[in-house]
Amino acid sequence: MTIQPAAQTGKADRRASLRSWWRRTGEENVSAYAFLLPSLVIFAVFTFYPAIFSIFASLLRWNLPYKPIFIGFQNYSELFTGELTSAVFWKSVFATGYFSLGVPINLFISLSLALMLNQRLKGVGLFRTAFFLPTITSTTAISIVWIWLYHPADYGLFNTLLLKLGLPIQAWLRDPALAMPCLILMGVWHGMGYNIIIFLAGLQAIPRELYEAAEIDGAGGLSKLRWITWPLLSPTTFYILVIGVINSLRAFTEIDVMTQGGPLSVTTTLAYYLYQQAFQSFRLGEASAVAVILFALLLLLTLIQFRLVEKRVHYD
Amino acid sequence: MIRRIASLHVVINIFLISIVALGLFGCGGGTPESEEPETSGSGSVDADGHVTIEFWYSLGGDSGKVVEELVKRFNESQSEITVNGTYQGNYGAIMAKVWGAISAGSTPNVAQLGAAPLLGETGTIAAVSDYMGGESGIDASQIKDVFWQYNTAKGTIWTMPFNNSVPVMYYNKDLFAAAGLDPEKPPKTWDEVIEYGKQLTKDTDGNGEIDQWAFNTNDDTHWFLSAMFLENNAKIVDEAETEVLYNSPEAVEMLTLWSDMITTHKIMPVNQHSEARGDFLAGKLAMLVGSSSGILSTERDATFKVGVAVIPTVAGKEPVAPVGGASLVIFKHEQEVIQNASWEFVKYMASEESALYVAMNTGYLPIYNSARENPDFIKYMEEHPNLNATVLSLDYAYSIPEFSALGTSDTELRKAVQTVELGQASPQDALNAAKMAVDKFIKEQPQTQP
Amino acid sequence: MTDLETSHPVSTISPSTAGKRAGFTHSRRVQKWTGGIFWYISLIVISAAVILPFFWMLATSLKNPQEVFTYPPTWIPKVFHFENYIEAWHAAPFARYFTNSFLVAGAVTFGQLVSCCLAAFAFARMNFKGKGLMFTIFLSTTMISTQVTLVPSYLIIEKLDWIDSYQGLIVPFIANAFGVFMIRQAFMGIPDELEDAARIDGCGRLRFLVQIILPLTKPVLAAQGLFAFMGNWNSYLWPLIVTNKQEMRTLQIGLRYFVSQEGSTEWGVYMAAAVVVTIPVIIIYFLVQKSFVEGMATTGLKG
Repeated sequence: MTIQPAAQTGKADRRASLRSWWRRTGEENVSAYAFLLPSLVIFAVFTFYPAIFSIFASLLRWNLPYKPIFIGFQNYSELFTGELTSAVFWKSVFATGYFSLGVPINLFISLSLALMLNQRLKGVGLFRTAFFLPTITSTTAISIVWIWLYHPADYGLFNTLLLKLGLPIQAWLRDPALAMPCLILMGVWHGMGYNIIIFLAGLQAIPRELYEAAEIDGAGGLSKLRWITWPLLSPTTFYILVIGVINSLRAFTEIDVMTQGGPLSVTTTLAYYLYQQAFQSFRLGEASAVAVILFALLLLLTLIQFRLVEKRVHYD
Repeated sequence: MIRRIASLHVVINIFLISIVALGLFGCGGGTPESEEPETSGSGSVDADGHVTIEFWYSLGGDSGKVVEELVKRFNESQSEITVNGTYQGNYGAIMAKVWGAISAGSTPNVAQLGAAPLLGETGTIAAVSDYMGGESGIDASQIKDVFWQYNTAKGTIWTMPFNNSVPVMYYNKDLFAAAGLDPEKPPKTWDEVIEYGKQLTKDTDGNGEIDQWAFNTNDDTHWFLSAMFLENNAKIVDEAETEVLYNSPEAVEMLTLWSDMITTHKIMPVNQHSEARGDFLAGKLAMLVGSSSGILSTERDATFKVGVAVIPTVAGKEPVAPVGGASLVIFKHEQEVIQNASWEFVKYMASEESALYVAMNTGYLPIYNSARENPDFIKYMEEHPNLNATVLSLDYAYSIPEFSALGTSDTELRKAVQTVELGQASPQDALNAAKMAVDKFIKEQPQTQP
Repeated sequence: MTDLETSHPVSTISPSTAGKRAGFTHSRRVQKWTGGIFWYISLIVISAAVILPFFWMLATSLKNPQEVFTYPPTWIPKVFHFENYIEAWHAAPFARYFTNSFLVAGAVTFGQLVSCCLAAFAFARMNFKGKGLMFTIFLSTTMISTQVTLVPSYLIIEKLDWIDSYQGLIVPFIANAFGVFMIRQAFMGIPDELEDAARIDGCGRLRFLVQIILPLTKPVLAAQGLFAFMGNWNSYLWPLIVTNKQEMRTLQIGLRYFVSQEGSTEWGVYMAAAVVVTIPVIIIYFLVQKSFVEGMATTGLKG
């Protein structure tokens, strides 16, 4: 720390205060923002600006190719309570919720499989690869294969299996009651590999001593699960839940390839409804309104999850 | 000392990172303002006056190759204009791209797509009728009237006929023979379809499930349903194009017939239109109603004898073959020389020679009246007798008015069919719902051009 | 640690259980062994079920159209129709699609790693004003779905004249908040002493990042790189709307268009195309498998 003489001329003053500003603000601040800059620029241009644009667009009636007209919140009121539109909208809200059931199902199955894989068995790597294969295959390719599996005629593989069991064949993706469960099943198959890997990592981070201590005290498999594994795994579980919900709300490819939102719009989730409004009906105002609603929903769900589950998550 | 080095490092860091950031973003400009659609888009003229124009088309596979060949021929036939053609995906995909391009002011010069006359309302296309007269024009009377109607919206002929088709009924002659039916006598009325159908629906491997169906249609069920409406004298849309009329008793009668084929007579599977063509080719479907454009490829891909018949009709009434297909569109360009070049290209693509080439290499209809007398075409027909049904259908061809809500109407009709097939609504209710949705859409459109 | 003790009191060893312990271990060993077999069998059954669709995809890809539609379906084709693959390859310019997908996914991966490492470094190892706010901002980007930004982003690409260009396919994706968080976790695990030592040696932040931290966190970077690559390889809505020319299409679009060409349903050839599209990623996965799994483990998802 240099000692400043009592009297200073103006210029020296300014230079000194600049230096001390620099010292105070810290080159750390400036540096940090420089490090953040590339990401921020991209986010600004391709995430934030479009999002704001969409918010404004949701206040317009903008049916291509006509010019946009300002209509305030009419798009929203139409979606929520309008005569024809609201029926479709609420149906898609329901479909979105229905589809997201895949997340807890996926969680349960991945956790079970991860637990199984966590036994020190030989060849675990092979099984792990098997489970991970669906995840690394492109959604498009998978969707096509599963359309084929779900073929409504008797030579579709699933129908063949049903017939072997003496059950009648099903229309699967063409049956409004079964279409969504079909998508969910495929979604679980597709996504569980990722979850398993993450669960495995979390499981392996739990110290063995805890288990051994519990075993010595006569704790059985289920007790160990309940009192050691589950609590210590909770951050991982939470992470998977949040990511799962976000991804399920954004799902698009499989719906577009396999059912195009049908039959009878049962698989039209909010994300797909948005696409239909923007790229098939060219109603950009309405599409933007749906986009904003989707965003708000995502935000809400994530906040709720953070609040509720935060209490139950144990960090050490 | 340390601090000085630290500051130096900071400067270097910021410098480096900014370079990276700028490099990544390149010469990106400021934020785009919302703008009005401009009329200029692609296309360019170079110093010698040589014009290059962009052409978007939506035919793939074999038909796509035909388009590409014609583009090549045009480029080779003269040296003032070069056309760059690109395939943009199917009708749905190209429509989305065109709307996007209009919005962003970057339209191509010529496009081939369906529902093209509706683009007239956008103010971005040049009406073909403006070019038809004059020196560089063509003789409109040479092309069958119905195709001009297909390219008319609100009284103006906006677009040029190019590839058109009608619904026809494909049938499996081998399956007919196996069921004791005369393979050369396909059904002419819906009653006959049902009668034949009952003998063609079977469970061939005895596992308790029907695996051979008598009848089905392709995905564009709205098209075939419209044919049935028109056959029964039900109107689609009113004169003033302000509302749709297909909740009338005549129309409901047809949708009921459709539904009965599934539930009462059990000759058609429920909601399996996407699989229909595959099933037909696999010999699991006896009769398939589809576009005539697929005749050649179906003959090639089938391992059995294929027959093609005119679409069946209501007993005592004449068949109606609503025209489908796509057209050529000229987008306005501020430079007249480029717009004129677009017309020259379109004129070539729709010339008698080109039209014949299209008709003889795809299943699309011959649009010129003279085609029927053309010796090459006659010989071609003798080699492909199945195309007779298509040419016969020309006599029954009809153009559904291109009203502004046509797209929505088609979607609503498909929805109505699906709802009725899945037993979720009665034909009357389904058509009422469709009418409500389409009328609402029509009301929302501004009445004048933007 | 403390949680365990407070949530469930550890029971003391009583005389009655002590005697049980000897015989306990023996039967436990047997139990473990039979338990092992049980797990093995279940795992085999389940993995077989999981692999089934792939097998079916492969089997169908080698069948001719007739066999594809027969009931009961055959698991192993009577004749191996390898020509399906040739037909699939020729039906569309797959080689070009491959190149495009590879270039784009590669560039996006590189771009993401660069931007994410930089940002993660800032969050993990620097203190600055507005850090919390920035963190929230980054987090918020994960919740803005692609559909919300789709049309405006398209209009921007249009304005920049980046349609049918590699930049249009790459640039919007070179930032990724998920990547930032994952890498941040790893960076936080680097001991402070290393950084202090580096600073004393006069090493600037950037050099510290590149020369010390990155080599130490290779597994996580490999994991993130794989995710970025896979994610972009898979993407299809964006390439669909941003490319018009066939030469610029990516593999997924090529596959998708393959499906809807002329409405024909030549399942054998489709499955062949699907197999062809799937293989590269599987190969890459096998190559980076080890470091990938290690990377997942060290992301320290304990919070």
